[in-house]
Amino acid sequence: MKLKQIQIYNFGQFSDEIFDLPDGNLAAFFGENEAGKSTTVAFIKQILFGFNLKNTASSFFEDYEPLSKAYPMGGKLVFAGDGDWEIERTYSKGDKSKVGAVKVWHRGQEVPEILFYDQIQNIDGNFYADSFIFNEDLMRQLASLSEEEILENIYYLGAAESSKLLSIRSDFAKEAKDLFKASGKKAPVNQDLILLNEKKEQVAANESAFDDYQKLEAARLAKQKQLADLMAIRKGQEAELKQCEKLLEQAQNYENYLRLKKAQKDVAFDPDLYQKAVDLNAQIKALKTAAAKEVAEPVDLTDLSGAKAQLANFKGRLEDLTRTLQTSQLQYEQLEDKQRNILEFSPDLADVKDMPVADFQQLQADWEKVNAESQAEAVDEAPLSKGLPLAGGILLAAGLVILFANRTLGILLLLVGAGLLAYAFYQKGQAGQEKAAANDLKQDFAKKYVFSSSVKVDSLVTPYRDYSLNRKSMVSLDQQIQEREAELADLGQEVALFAKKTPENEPALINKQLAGAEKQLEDLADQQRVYRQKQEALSGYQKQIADLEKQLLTIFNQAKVADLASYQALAAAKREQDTAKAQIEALANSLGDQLPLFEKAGFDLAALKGKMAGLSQQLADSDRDLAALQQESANIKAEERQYADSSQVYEGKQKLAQLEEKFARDSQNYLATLLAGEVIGRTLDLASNDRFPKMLVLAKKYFALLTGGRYQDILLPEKVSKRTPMKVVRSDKKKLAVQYLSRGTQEQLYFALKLAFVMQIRDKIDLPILIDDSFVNFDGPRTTNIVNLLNELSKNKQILVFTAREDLAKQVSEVPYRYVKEASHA
Amino acid sequence: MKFIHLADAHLDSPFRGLSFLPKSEYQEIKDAANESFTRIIDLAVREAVDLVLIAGDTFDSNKPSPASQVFFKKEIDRLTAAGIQVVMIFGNHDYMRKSDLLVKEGPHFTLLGDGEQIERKDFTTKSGFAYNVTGFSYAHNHIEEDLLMQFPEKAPSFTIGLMHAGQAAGQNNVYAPFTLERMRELGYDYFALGHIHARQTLLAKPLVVYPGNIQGRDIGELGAKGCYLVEVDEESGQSQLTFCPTSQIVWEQANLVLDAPLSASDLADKIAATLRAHESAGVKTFVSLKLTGSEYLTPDQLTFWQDPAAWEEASSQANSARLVDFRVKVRGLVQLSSTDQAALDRAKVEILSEEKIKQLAASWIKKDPEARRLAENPEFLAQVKELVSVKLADRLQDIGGSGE
Repeated sequence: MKLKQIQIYNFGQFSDEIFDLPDGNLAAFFGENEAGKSTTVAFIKQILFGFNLKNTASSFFEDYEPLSKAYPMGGKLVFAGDGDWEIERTYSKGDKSKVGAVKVWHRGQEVPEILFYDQIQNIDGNFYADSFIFNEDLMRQLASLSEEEILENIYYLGAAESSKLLSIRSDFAKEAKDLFKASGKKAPVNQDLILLNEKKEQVAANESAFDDYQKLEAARLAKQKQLADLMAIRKGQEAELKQCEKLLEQAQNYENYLRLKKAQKDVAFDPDLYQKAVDLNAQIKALKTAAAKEVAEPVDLTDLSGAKAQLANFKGRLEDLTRTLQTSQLQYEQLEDKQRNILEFSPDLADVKDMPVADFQQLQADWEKVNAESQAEAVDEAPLSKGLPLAGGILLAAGLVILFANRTLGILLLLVGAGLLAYAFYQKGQAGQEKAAANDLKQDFAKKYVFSSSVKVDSLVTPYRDYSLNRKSMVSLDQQIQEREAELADLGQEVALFAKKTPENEPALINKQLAGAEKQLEDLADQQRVYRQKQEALSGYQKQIADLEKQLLTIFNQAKVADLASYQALAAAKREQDTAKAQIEALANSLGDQLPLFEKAGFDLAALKGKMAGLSQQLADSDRDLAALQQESANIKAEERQYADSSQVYEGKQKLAQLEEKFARDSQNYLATLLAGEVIGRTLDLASNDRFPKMLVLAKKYFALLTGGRYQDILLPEKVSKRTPMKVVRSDKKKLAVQYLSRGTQEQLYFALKLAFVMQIRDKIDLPILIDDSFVNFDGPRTTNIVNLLNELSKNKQILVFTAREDLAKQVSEVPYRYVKEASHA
Repeated sequence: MKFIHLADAHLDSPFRGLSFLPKSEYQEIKDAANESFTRIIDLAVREAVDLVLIAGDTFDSNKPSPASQVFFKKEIDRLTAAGIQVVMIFGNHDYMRKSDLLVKEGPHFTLLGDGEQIERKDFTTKSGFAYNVTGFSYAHNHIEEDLLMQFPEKAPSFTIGLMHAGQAAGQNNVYAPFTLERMRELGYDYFALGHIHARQTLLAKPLVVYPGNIQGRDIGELGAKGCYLVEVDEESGQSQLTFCPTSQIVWEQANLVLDAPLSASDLADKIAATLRAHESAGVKTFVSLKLTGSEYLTPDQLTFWQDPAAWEEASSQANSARLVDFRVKVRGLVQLSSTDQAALDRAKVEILSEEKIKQLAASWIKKDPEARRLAENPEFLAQVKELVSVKLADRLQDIGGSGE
């Protein structure tokens, strides 16, 4: 297919642009940088394979939305030859498909687009860009590759998309390497193996668990057997020991039998008589106990009648004395009252009450003298002289009366009465005489006496007399009282002596002592009475005891014993004999048939005991062994149980299975990655090798042309490797491995090969080659070389050359298309 | 006469492919094999069978754990106490000697053919029906010889052959390989076999039966597992087989085909619905989901569904089913240019040949016997190949899929 016309509706900087291409296969587009060369290349590619309005990495997917903002975007490519194909692609704002809407015409007839793409083997834009477009991008791509990679790229030129396949292959290889390494530990698969083998060892170790278990089981069964054997032995030992024990018991019985038999003897003993003695003894004992209770403390047995009389005497005397003393004291108190009364009624008496009678009489006389002189008429017969005989008479009569009651007082009153009568007569004669001298004497009186003569001394006479008489009676009474008190003191002395107490002189205290003494006397009398009663009882008991003891003695004599103790010993001996007899019978019964045997042959007790001790020891040993065996058996059982309950084996296996699984999974991943890489590699090989031989013929030619004949041949080994590299043959026939070529030459080789590839597939994919001169930066001589090459290529293939070099443009085309200002307006 | 035929209890054997399970759930499944075994014993007692035949691989190894031995003894004691005859042989996993068993020989328990000796034993049911069992026990992990050739002729009484063996189909059968021809020749009444974990009846006359194992342990052991209850018509000698499922956990394979991209939530719903479709009452179902059409998954979806946490989430949408495995398969590769596609296809064929794989994986294979073992496992290799396709499809998506 030959591109005849390029119609740009709106694309990038172009609007309504039409490029008509010349008839030949070679066309040149000349213009400065930014004139629109790259836009044209992109237009061709995008009309063929779709717009891509999204921003992506590839330059061909650059957003070429019209700068004029005029739509539809896109245009048409018109191809001649092989039946006139036209392909139009447009995009308007709002269209769903960002790749644009395609219309295809074949021979002027619109046809399904698929027909067109079938024509070009359904390749995609990448393939086209990769294989048919030589521009800056390809250059850049090459420059970034290492020499080795360039070589690989050269090598795999045979395959479309080779660069992408190569990168996929290397990704796979790298990933595979990360998954597993022939040596090393860190890669996942290697890791899996390490863990897997560790676990395997562990599981193998676990497998011995059953062996161990079986050993335990065997050991346990052996122990069980041992146990059973030992039990049987022990049972025998036990039975034998039991038999010995029985024999020993019999022997001991026999020994007792013999001993008892030997100690057997007759004892004369009357149990009734003994009982009587025991009873008597008990009675005596009881009586003695009773008698012991009657023994009394010795008591003073003196006759108490004298003391009692004395006591009565004391009591009588004390009573008399007390009474008299009380009477006297009463009288004395009465007199004291009288005196107080006298003094109360006659206060002046106080001054004269203690005057002796003679002095008072003088006073009376003095006063009467004074008084008689001055107040003769006034003075009457002194009341005293009229009163005195009367008082004397009364006192006489009273004295006679009282005389019968109280001799002393009566006499006293008689005397006083008589005195008063006599005195009254005397006074009657005196009074007249004195009255005369009274006045003279008045003054003398005042000088002589402390009180005034106005005091009626005559009124004091009677009180004075009464007072003096009373005082006399009081003195007498006081004397009597003192006498009685002395008597009382004497009585106190006596009583104290009698009662063996400290003397007292208070009647009450004395009386108390007397009462105490009386009580003592009564007590003593009681004690004497009790004592006498006890003495009487005691002698009764003693008599009974003597009787009974006599009876007991008779019995002792009868029984021929000395006393009760001997008699009791005799009774005990009797009982013992009876018991022994019963025991002998019982033992004989128990021994049974053994008895005659023993009696016949006797026995060796020591030997039997020795045998038994041995058996006991054996039994103890057996028990100890049994316990030990049982413990061991239990231990084994416990250990067995541990094994039986353990899920260790299962868990180990499960874990191992999981590790195996993980290893398989990781390995699968590793192998698949590795193999996928290999598949890609092999795909590249196959795709390349298929085309290489023919390609190589062309490439040789192009390489020679490009190098101006410096290189003649390209040698491709069966398989490219470091040891068998791709080689080129220089004009001097020298073969050089590609890696020793300069980078420039390597690029020329790559260019040659790539062109050869495009030419090779020309029959299948007949699309124009687009060469942007930014790629072809060859110097002068090389320009000629490349022009020669382009001429050669254009024989069979349409080539569009986009260049900023006018000389190149002219060499390529007689009429190169020039980008005009109008076209590059924008 | 009534008997139970079981095999391949594999007590102690681990579950595979469940390492992501939470510990609590893991504990639950741990005892699954024991539980299934106990249920079989329950069944035997309940049905008052005359005989229980145990056709090998009762234990997962020839050194079983004491715990398993104790467990086994306890269960067998239940049978013998009920007067039920037990006849057992050892298989290639539990190749042991009679003396290695904790259960000891007794009137109701027989370990048949100790030390790889072919042994016949006669029995009579309680009701007086005579039968005999002929068989052998493994003493090594391999028996290369066809021991069936040495089996005695059928006896007049009901004759049972008891074997842990595989059909002599493959070249490398080292598990007492036998032929059906010989079985026909012998004309026994019943061949009670063990070894193959998938339940199957090889022949109807004579009956040649694999009851399968009693509990599936990984995604390779699908469906209900248990034992056969066999009722023998004592007149005719005809046997009636009833399969009795006893496993509490069942593995299922589910398929989900994508032919267009789905949103994340639509995909999750679809997966949950697939899980629910595989549920059955009374058992826990472990589901392995195979998704065909991985190219319709976004890389995010692909990564998401590789994660057991996503499986947990999906399982929570189901009742008794649990997603425990997720595999993807490419339906068709993405479009490369036809020439490159042809190269890719050829490259795949070349590289993914067994020989080439072994050559490329040499350093890995050399690294460990476990790797060597996997390299010999066709299933493993098939999975590797599938994964290669998935990885290629994933990476090449960018190339072919972009543009239009």
